[in-house]
Amino acid sequence: MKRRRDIYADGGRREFERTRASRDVKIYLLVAAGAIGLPLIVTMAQCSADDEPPAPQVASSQTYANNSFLPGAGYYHAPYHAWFPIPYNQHDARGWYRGGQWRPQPDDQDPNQVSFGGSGSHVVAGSSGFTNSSRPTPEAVAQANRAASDYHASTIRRGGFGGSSRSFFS
Amino acid sequence: MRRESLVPRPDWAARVEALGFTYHTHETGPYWDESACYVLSSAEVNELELAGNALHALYLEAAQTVIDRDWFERLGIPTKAVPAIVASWERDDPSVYGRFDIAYDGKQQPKLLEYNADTPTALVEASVVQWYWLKERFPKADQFNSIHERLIKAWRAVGSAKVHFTSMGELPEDEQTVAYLMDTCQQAGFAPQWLAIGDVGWDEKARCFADLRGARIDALFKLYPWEWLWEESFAAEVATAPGLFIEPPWKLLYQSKGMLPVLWELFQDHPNLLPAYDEPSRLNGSYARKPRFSREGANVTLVERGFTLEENQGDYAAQGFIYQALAPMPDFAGNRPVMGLWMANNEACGLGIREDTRRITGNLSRFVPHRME
Repeated sequence: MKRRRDIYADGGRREFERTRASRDVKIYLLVAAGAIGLPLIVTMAQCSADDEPPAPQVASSQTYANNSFLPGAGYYHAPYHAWFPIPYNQHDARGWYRGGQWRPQPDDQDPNQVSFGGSGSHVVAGSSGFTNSSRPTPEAVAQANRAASDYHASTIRRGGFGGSSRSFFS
Repeated sequence: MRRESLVPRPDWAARVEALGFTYHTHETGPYWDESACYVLSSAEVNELELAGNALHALYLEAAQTVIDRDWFERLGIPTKAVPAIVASWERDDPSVYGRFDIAYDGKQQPKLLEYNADTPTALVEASVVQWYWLKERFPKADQFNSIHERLIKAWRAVGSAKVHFTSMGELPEDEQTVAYLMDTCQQAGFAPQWLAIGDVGWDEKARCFADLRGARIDALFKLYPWEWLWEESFAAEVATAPGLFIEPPWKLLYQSKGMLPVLWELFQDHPNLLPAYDEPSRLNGSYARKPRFSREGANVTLVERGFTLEENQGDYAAQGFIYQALAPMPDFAGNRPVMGLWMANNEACGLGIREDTRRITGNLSRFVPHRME
């Protein structure tokens, strides 16, 4: 039985939430989009972010947050001081991925452990050697920088969506 | 339920534009039409709310039946889409929103016309613009409208820290709908980012969809129909890509009007359903012929006793048609309203009414606000 089926146990009535719970409806992006258009807002936001251009390479003198993404190298696993292709503590049928291996148990100190599929994020309690940021080893930096250098925009294809065009939805 | 004539606010256009709502006027006149409003009693709103939740439950049952009996062809769904649809259904990938279009006059039971389950629009006017209109014109009145709050809850159920939003560029209604949904996503505590649908990338090495900076897309909200996506070159990657699509692939089951005959077959005589079939012979010459996939009333034909009452042209006929009994549409001095019953986080949460002097609600129909008493 799917979870979505369970929500009508009370007969489907939700009178207490039928009307506005709050008198205030925050619509900052909508107001901005109406004034200057959504793509322009996004462009402006990106220009602002690009004032500090992202470093194309990594360095062993820098501290990196767990799961920091470096195109070509992957996700930084702070407890292992290196980059790996799969996010830290990602879970599937093989187990929990950390430090290049699938483990039988999650890192129960990782506060950002997320499972997809509708149940939202969950945090598990416990203890491990988890650290949320660290400096990479020189070997890991060299390997990541090689991978990043090898990584070209041509590995990402674009234009595979959006070819259909009609002017309105429903 | 009644329709009241009103004098519009003299500066109504500027007021709604201040909310970010700029597509308020058609070539032929106002789309946002506050020269009238509909007034519903609390009991009538109850009836609509219950109908929405009941229909939602029926769709769940019907979708499971379609999967169990392999009725995808009956819904006009391409074979290549089936694995991703079934996988997303089995994973229970979350849905954020949808809109039932309902025939209702306050006297007879609400009747389902169709379900805009994949890319519903008219959201900004329903959730935001008519709310601010109510606060100014009828500050003591209420409205069937918790859409905003429910959308925020729906995003929390999605549970992805980073959500990318995509749509076609340079279409004000799409842009403003997406911007508003990004607002609700942000207020749920997540980080929304927008990119044009054509800029969505496929990373061959990482085997994932990627944004313009090359970062993996964990969750992609698309104001772009699934039936179009399935015909495009990245469709082959959807089934294996990590991350979520919102609305999820299984919503194509709901979006197909091929579900209307399935619903009638499974739940015949349900008070919120109209008789519907895959062919017209059982409807005695009076029916609405609807394409399995169409939007804004395109390619819809209304036939009564063998004579065509009204017909819309369009280019949505490729997946064939279904036939639905004519609905008892209310008529308020020549205006025919359709109730847009919003679902968010799997529950009925608000109402947006569009009316037209024509029988088929189309892209030139007007949005008319409502209040409760």
